Amino acid sequence: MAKENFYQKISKKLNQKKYFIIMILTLIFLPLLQGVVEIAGSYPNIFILSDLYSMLVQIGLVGNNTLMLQFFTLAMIFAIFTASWDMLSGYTGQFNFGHALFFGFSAYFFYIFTSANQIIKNGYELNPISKIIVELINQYSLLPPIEAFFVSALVSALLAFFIGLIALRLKGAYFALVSLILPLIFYYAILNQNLNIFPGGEFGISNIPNIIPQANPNNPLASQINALNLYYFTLLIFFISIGFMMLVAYSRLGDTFQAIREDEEAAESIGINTAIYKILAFVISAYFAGIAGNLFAQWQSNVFPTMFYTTNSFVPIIYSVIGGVGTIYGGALTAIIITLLMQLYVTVVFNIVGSDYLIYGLGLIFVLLYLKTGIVRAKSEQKRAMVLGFLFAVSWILISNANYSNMNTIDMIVLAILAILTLPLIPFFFIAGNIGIFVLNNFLSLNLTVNSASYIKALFLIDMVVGIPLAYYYPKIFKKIRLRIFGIWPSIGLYEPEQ
Amino acid sequence: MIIMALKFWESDSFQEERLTMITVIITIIVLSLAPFAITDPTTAFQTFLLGIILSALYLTTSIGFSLIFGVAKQFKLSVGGYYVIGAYMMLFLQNAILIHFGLSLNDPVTSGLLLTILIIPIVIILVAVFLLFRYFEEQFILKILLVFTPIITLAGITILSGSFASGLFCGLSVACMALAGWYLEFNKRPIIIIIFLISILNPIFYFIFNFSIIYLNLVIVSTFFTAVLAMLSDRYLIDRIRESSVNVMIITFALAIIFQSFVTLMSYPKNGTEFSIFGSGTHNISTIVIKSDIMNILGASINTVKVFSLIVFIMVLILLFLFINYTRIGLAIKAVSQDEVAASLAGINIKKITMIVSGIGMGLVALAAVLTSSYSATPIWNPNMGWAILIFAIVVVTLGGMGSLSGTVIASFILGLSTVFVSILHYTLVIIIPYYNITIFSITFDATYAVLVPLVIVLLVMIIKPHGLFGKKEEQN
Repeated sequence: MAKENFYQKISKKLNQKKYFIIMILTLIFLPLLQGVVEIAGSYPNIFILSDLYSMLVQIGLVGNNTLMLQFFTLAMIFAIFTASWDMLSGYTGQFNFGHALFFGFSAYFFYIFTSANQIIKNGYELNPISKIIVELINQYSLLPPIEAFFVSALVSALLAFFIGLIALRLKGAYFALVSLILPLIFYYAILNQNLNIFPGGEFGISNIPNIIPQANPNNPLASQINALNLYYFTLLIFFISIGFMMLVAYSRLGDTFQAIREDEEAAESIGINTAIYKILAFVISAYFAGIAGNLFAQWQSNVFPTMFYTTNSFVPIIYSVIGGVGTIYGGALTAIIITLLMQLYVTVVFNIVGSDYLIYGLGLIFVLLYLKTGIVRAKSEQKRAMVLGFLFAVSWILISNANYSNMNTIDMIVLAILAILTLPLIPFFFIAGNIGIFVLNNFLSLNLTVNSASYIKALFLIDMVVGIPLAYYYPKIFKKIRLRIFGIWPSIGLYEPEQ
Repeated sequence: MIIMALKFWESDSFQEERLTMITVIITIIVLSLAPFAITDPTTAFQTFLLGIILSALYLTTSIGFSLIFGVAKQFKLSVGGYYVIGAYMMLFLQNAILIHFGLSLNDPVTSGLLLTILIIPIVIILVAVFLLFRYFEEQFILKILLVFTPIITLAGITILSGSFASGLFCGLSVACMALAGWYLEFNKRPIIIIIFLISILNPIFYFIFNFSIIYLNLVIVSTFFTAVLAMLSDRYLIDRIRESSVNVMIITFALAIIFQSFVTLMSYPKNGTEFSIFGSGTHNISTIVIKSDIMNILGASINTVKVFSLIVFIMVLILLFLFINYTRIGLAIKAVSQDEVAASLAGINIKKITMIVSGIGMGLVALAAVLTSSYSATPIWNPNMGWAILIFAIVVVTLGGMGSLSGTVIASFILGLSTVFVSILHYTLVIIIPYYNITIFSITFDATYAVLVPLVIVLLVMIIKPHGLFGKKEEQN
């Protein structure tokens, strides 16, 4: 075989990473894509496009740029947070149940670095040690927001260094237990009114200084501009952090971490100083968690002590486990998908207090039992099932909510083809949809009137939940029926034994 | 006794732990006596009693955690979830029963009528049972009794109290006890007879004590409900992934989140409608005595509820001790905790033992929930109070050492006494540093610092002795 051309090599490598490249391009050009969809939706002749567009508008995916950009920003913040957790726990094997510590710590320090003079002027109550620190910072190192952004993450990395010295002596499960407690020390200490560690106490601080210069409030597009700027800033930080973490993970350093995860004593016997590498992983993950925390404080413009709470430190665990522990991009991907889903459904199912964590927990258990190693490492059957389930749900929604009064023949044909392809599944969708809507309406007292946005969203969710197992078992049932009827595979020479 | 103590002191297994034992004894004595140095004897004694009560709470919630680790070598982080489920189940049951107090027993005619209505069926039943035992074989009788005992309670209490729901739940509690006795492989005859007697005594005691008996029955029902839930989840969820301990931790954490969010879901009104089983706002669980009732013990005034819960905890822990040391299943538990493979070779069903231990552990947690959810300071009554309980369990196990039951007992005492001790400290720490132009500042220690004590202790334990006070080194596989 002739030696591979330079261009052939590059194209092969690009071909391997095509999904990544598509995702990166989508994220970068997202605001433009929304414009493209709007233009496509304004063609009334092509029914499918305009109906799909109106449904998307109703759902909230297009039409309001600010909201979507804010959703995506939050998604990427959690993606960075999750990837940092995965670096520590997936690669080094030290499962850290208290990652929210660094999340909140650097947010508070960001505020202190940028406005120490404000703290002293406003006279927030602080205990003596904090007062000394604040005054030192005020005199020597009051930083502009962009520098404080990186320096406060460094501070939380320093905290991680000291905690790691003490805590990483414990093995495995013991470390997990103790790390659960560590952020709660800060949480209870902040809530305690006598031991004022950070300014703000129970209610936090609002109006954190912004990194990005805000638009002129008189401008009618001010909020959109701010959202766009924050989105692109977060995107940049997202690429830098995840790129850095993946570089570390797929290098020799990452191999060392994996060696420590697999068998610590064997790694020590080879000559790897496990203590130093564990602390290094801890410090790196704390740094990026700190960056995620700063971005989160920017996103919501305030800091609260609930940033330290257990539910917040469980978020990266959920996303990582669903996406695949030990791969950094798995957690990030799941974080983006699930945050988007949560934000889309925030007015339908998740305005009920407490239901979001319920769904997190149920999804986690489902993944741990059936897709043991996460979505990214799912077998091709399961991936195919997920994609097909999604497509089936979309097609059923198109078929059932179509505007049959004025339609072209082309669109009728398209719909008919869709219906024929998914014919055996249509009764399931119909029944499941009706039962689901009935339950949601009566037991959870949501008001889902037909053809409203929340109706479509809820229906879509139910159909996804029903469609994925159906899509998983559909080919298998098909195969069994074919085998029973025909006895052999009616294909060209291939013999597939009965499973 | 002295010779036994000396022998114990000199025995081989105890040599390594002598130092820790000495420090532990000294710490406990210091913590118990320290309040006497600070305040007057009555408040000191009150502090001591409150410390004991808090330690009993710590112990009851953590012993399940520690037992499960000893038997299955896994940490079940779902302790908090079961706590919440136990407490809210109790609330649900109480709301489902509409009990009207104040059955007037002053009227001789009604009381005489009720007595006759009550006594005659009981006499008939007793005679029938005696005759049955005489003329039929034992297994058959026992199975019939197993079916009949709940019905007796149900009928009796429904007649006396006038509400079918209370009768139902009392019958359910008796059925739970019977089934538990059956499942735990006790000797059948004593168990059935005891439960039969309990089922007959239930209506009689209701006649005398009114609400208290129903309350006890509800306690039993919620405990068993939680225990059954724990057993089912252990068998069907966790058994599949038992090899990886971290996955078990994650899945049990997810279970805790699911339980607590499910309870949140059920307890908040949605969209302004009144669909909520529990209503919003403060929840009132009635207990066996009026909550504000205060008791005087040697001058210390303590809520009666707390003393009652202390007594119940001590009884239950003694029962647990007897169960583990003097029954077959207890022996099996000890065997599994020492060597799982050898125990399975000896014919012990490992899955059943782990189920039983999970059930017992989480049942104890639910018991603690029901008894303490009306008073304690740290678990404030809300659906997310499970995390505080999880912290308790983790702290106790970290301090006491994994896999050592005596360690958990001692650790819970240390933690309880020290928390209560810190809450009575009132002093100010004054420092003057002239350089920063801050002349005087002070830290005032308050009762609010008591929440931080367990957390700080964990930090100290991590620094000084990572395996805990009585922890064993990890065994090599």
